[in-house]
Amino acid sequence: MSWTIESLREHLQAALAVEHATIPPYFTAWISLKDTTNVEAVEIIRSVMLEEMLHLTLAANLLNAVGGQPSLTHRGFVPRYPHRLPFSGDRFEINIERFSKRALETFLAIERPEGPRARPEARKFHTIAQFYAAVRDGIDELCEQLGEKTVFSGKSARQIQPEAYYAAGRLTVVADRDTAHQAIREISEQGEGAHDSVFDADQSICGEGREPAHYYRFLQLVKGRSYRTGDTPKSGPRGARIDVDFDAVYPIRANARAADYPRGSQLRGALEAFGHGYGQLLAALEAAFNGSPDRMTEGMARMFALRDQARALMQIPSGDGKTTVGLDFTPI
Amino acid sequence: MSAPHYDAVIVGGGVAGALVARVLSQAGRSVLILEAGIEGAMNPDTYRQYLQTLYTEGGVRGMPNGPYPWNAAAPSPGIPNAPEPYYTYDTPMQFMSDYLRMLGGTTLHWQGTSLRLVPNDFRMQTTYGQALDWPITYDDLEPAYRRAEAELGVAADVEDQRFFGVWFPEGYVYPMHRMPQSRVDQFFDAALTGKSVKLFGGNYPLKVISIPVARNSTPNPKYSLGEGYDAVPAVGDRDQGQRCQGNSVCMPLCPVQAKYSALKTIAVLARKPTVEIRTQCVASKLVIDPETGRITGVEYKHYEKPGGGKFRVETAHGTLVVLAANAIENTTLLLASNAANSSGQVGRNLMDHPYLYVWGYSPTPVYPFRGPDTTSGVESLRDGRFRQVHASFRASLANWGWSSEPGNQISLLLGQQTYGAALRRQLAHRMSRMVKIGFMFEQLPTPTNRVTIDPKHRDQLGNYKPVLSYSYADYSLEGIETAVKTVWPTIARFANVQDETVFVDPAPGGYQRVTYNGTGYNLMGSGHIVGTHRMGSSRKDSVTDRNMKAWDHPNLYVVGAGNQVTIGTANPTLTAAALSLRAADAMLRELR
Amino acid sequence: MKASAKRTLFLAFSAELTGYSETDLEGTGNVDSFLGVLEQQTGAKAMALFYDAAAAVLQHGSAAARAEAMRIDVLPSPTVWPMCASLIMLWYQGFWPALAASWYSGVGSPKPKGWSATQKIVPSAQAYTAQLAYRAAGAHPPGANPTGHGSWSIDPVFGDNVAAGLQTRLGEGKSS
Repeated sequence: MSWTIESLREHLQAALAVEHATIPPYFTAWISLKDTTNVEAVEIIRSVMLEEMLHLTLAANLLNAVGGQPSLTHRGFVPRYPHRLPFSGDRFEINIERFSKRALETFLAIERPEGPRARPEARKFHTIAQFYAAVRDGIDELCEQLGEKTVFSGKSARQIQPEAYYAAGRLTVVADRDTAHQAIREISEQGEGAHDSVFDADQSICGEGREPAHYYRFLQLVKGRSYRTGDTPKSGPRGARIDVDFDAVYPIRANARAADYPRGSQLRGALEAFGHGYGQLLAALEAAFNGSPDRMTEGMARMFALRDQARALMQIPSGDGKTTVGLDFTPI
Repeated sequence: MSAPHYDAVIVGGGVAGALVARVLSQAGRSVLILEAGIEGAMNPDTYRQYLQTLYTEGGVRGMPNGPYPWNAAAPSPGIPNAPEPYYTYDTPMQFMSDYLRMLGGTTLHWQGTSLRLVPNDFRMQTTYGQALDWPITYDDLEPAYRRAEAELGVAADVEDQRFFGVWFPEGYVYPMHRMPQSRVDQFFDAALTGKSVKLFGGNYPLKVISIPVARNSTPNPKYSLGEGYDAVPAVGDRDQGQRCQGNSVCMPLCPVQAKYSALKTIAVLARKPTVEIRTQCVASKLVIDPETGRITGVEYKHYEKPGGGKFRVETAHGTLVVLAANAIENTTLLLASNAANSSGQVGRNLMDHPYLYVWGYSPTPVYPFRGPDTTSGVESLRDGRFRQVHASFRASLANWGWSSEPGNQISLLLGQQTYGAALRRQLAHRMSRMVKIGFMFEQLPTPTNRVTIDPKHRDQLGNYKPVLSYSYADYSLEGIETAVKTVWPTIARFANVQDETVFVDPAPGGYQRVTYNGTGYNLMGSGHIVGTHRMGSSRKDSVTDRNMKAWDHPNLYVVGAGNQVTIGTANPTLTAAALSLRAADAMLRELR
Repeated sequence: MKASAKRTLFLAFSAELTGYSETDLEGTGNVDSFLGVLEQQTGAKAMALFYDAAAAVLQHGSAAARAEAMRIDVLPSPTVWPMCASLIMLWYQGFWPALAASWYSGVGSPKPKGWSATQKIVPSAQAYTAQLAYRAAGAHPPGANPTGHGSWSIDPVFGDNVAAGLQTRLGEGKSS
């Protein structure tokens, strides 16, 4: 296909939606773990989720750099779950569900590394990394055609600065082709690993050791062992045992909906309050991504508040005698 | 005599000892750290356990040493439900501050405030005719302050901090930007901008200024000539602690380790091949060559279990010996060894910052109980002509509402049989407007405020426990009266705060009552322990020289807040860190 | 009374006493634990009185009528009101304050094992972290749930000020 600036922006907005789409499922699995047990599982899922949030921000920086306007509050930005990612070819659904073996299988499918011979194709691709590879090629093509300055026309003040984002990895400020490549590499490698490697290429921080890519982090929970330096995709994880207690999770209903409960009921109200909170979070992030980076503080505060609301919703009985209410991310 | 095995034997695994070890090991020197306490919080599982104790043991919240266990082999003062007290007193007044003997030391429970002393603090005698001058000036210590700010990871903006002659080199910025200001800060700032208070010597502005803290905030990309700064996360968990995230508890420990503790430096040291750290080793005596005065060995008791009981006596040998066990423990060790005391000053001039709270209701909600304990203070009374006649002080704006709240208000409301929606509403109304200010007062060095030892008072391993003599001089009490009767009412008036302060008699637990000019005040300690082995220009009236080296022994350094000649109104840890770095430089010069 | 009926009554009355909804209380995960503490600390005799009083109050549909029933039946009761006060403290502050020795002799029930007058029983870490006292004021118990870096520089994004729509302008506050 032939790229235009417009189609590039559309793809990056789509990237934003794709990065976002995995956050509610990871968030839900994370909170559903009772955190005094399953310490490693909590840490792993939380770390992956934080990195997805980094990817979301990187995607916003990329989109802003090419003169786009990130949108997080339009109808449909938050997908209806169960959700099929745009490139999954109907192979799997993502649910808003408790941590479980099924959820882990889904996460592995989301983060699956690309095969070495996979060709990048926009519109017809099987992994997130292939999508980004195609976008990267699109950027290169457009720079070739139109010149770097024309492609990267966005105002630098709209970039989220690395200092504003903490917790995981490096936030790249995108201003040109090289930094765009860097941002894309950060996204791909954190997700799937550098080629043939369990680890992303990021150097160790504080000598603490390198972090396996997302796919392999989840695999640790499936295999029940952690990766050590020297382990490869072929060898599998040969490090310390990880014990996962699949029963130490809150028994939430999958894909809960506020509309499942009668209008005016307390349970409906609680779910709607969560959806309202989520909508406000997205609004704060959108403002931050569109020239008001100081709104990140409010965004973070809303994220932390949602965590508390989520934990409460995971403990409230749904009324069927077996499950608890669960989460509905539909913004209100 | 056996040959030294280490370039330096350091007694104490807290911030002072860790920083000395850092400098020495960076230059390839071999170092042994002897820590009296257990590994404790260094272990992530144990850290989590302490955090759980914080939740389940109501009584320990708010106590500096709250969740930390009693260790009969290396007792600390202020451990809740301790089977016996650690301090003994020679005076009716008690010394109100405690510390922690565990790897990482008192920085496990400190608040993180990292203020520099102001220039006049170093020259009180010359400027105000009070106390003594230090043998060094602010200018002398300034480079070490910057290095300490790097190692501790201090968050502040230099534009806020240039007052009373505090200066920074051109282009210097702190590693991280100042901590975000709380709504409480914003409230007082708005009320006090442009306002002043009349004290001895004139009108003094009331300025709300951000407090420099060793707590992770947003890194400043301009730090270190544009190199930037990476916030140091929790030990053993890089996904935690890169920012203060508002857990609203800093003391007795930070749940995510966003606050600096010496564990962060120790974690780096532990990876160095030339550094050895031994815990559960209590130094009990310095072995001294009677002819040369050389410290030929550090005798220590290596115990198996923290409950006391079995121990082995061993001796460590170093070219240099460094005492970094805190101002009180350094003292008991020196006195037990009959060391470094030709001046008679070892243990004398014990100083703390007497601390006092005032509180009230703001007219509009300011939403306390959030964020770090304190993010700003009224810093504009830390110096001035009034120091000729009374103590200076600073005023920390508290972010956590009133002490013992919301418990007291709930009890009050329940006592009135207020329940349900009314309870919810009234409690929220009160809580959201609770403002509190903590005043911190300087004390002058007083020879009779001191630490001594007595063979009658020993711990289970036979080591000396400290015997304390303590009092408040009129200089401090005059400052306290000024703060309570002039400054606070002035602030309350400008801010339209409804004063609710009452000093109940008898004083509640953790406070002691002092009466001055007919008024009773309830005072706490600040946890600041300073002055007991001060530096000086003459061996006649000081324990160490200007590089923290003991006058009386050719290879002994005594480092920490104990070196301070005056206490000023700065929390001492940053200064202790700077002095330790300065001392370590001198040690390196000697070892060459 | 069946256990499930007791739980339902306990939850409804706790909502009345605390001013928080049943859903809010369920969300703490402490309903069963706190009912257990109440039963264990007061005994079967006092619990029967408690349930009677709860039913008497909750039979009324309007808040005003329930308040009146509280005023008549519960507040003056030397047995029931102290139970309510301790229960409110348990929900609000995460610990059960001991009932006085005189309460036990008044009811004619033995004191529970390990009772002391100054006792503060914390049933679990979750009792601490889910304290209600802070919530309405937009805060959390110390060390329990963080609110996010910089959150203290803006008004709370949760709490009664938010719910009532009285929130003052949200924004990054700046001091001079």
